[in-house]
Amino acid sequence: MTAYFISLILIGIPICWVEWTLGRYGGQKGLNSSPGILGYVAGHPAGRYLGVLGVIVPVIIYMYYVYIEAWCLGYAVNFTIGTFQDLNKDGLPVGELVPLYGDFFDHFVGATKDGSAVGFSVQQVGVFLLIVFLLNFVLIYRGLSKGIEWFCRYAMPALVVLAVVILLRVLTLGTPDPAKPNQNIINGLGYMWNPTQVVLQEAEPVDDGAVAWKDLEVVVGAESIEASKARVSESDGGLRIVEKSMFSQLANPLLWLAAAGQIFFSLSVGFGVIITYASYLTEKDDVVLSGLSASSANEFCEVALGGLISIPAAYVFLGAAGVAGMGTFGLGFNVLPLVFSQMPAGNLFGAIFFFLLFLAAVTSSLSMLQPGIAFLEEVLPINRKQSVALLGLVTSLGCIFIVYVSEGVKALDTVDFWVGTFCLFVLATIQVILFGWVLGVDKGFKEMEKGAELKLPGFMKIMIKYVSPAYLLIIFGMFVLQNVLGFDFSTFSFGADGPTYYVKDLIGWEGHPPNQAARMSVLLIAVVILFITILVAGSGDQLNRKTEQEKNV
Amino acid sequence: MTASGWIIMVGSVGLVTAVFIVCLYKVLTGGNAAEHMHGLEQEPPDAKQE
Repeated sequence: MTAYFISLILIGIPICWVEWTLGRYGGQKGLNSSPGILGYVAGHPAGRYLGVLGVIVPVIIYMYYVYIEAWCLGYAVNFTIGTFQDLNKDGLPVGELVPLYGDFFDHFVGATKDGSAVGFSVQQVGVFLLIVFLLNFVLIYRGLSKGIEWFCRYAMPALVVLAVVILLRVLTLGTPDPAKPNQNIINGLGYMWNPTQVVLQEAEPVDDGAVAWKDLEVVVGAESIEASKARVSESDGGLRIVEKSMFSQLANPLLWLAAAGQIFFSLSVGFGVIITYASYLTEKDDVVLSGLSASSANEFCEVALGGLISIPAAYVFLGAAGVAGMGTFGLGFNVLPLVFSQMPAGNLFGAIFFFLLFLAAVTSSLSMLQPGIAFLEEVLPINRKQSVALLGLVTSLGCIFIVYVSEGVKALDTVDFWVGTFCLFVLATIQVILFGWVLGVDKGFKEMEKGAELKLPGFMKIMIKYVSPAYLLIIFGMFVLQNVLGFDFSTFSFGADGPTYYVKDLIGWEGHPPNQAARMSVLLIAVVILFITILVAGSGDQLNRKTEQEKNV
Repeated sequence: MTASGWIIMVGSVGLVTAVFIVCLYKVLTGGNAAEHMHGLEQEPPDAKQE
């Protein structure tokens, strides 16, 4: 959480303001797409190619976001028709429910086998995906998104109230499984918030008789630590317990990359969405308070509600090893049904919660389509409806691939890392450098403060010009060294572990053969990048003309 | 949960809650501030034209 908060202050909020400002600045010149706006700000056609990321990120994220949106709708329906109640009809102890709900999730999303999600049973995601995909395009094609936004004015506060109710239930869970007294809510909170971690490690022999220590699990609570010490003394040197201080944890660049990626994803920074929507604003509009309010509301929901619900509850039900082994996306869908099973009228709460979550997701996915639509309208001689149809074709092909290659949700995981984390990071870096060093931080701040209720302190200029870009570039450099080239910062040498598994999946590694699903996923990303780049290359004159027309008005 | 864990949790949750409340206050009491604020919910001009 420390890396998360540092990232929020040093890069999240400053770059959020940068993206709002760049968008409005470009919009005043008649440009609405990221390639158009960044090309104009850079004052060079190369800027347009940098802006390609601002189109591919929302378009590709949309391809798997609708898949997750379909999970929400499917869970809402299954709560409504009593599927989860049936799984728990014998009033099983929570320890026996964990694998049942886990199996339901794996079957529902198709994690067991490629193609197994594609089906029309209510316990498979396929039918819900079809509904969600059609709903998104009908809403945007017929211009009905305003109606759903009106509904969400009431639905989203209701979701927050419901989240507070769920939070209260989680904080009063105590020790739901008496057979596992260590898995209680206080230890769950400690697992998430303790700055110093106690970690149980296992010895693994490497070359030359040396030993490498691998983390087994984080140990929280006095009783768990005593139990782990007993295991260590019985292990004959095969196990050990170490304390990892906050500073040693912060030395891992992947942690910072993940923290930055999480911040960017949740604030929609480096996403290409804000820059397009901000391009429709006027000088009277307040980008500073808009950006800060959106960020603070999001952080409140993420830290004070979502964070206090999902991870502590996951620790209580699954234990430390279970939390560590679960991907980001699976966590809520595995854990929340367990929380609802421990609540009175849990089925009703589950149905309402997942339906409201589904509505929130629909508003996000609709916003992800707009950058692609604006881009196609800008570079091709087509209108909005034609743009929607073309975008629908492109995204449906990508979505079919991601949903079909569902074993271990490998395609989703790969695309999420390379686009939803890596590309977001790169685009945010490009934007902050263009703002601070090409547009100029003084001119940029003048632009930002037009119509602003809040006056930004002077140190924000230093932050945006020096601190944020340096921070991003250092993390990026360390990430490439450690996770792509396999450099070990603890020994300052190229270690035996090699790069992160996202890279090993692509190039193969000793004991880790290349993964064809991951390779095909990266090929999908490459094809979309190529498609958008060709459109940008062929549209140079059109973008120039549009800018010139605006200048002459 | 250690004492430092409690401090970090209360500090973090308190910080985000306080900033959220300040923003709500600014929006609700800032005259016509709300009229000049936008999220990603606005209807784009190209949709209005059709």
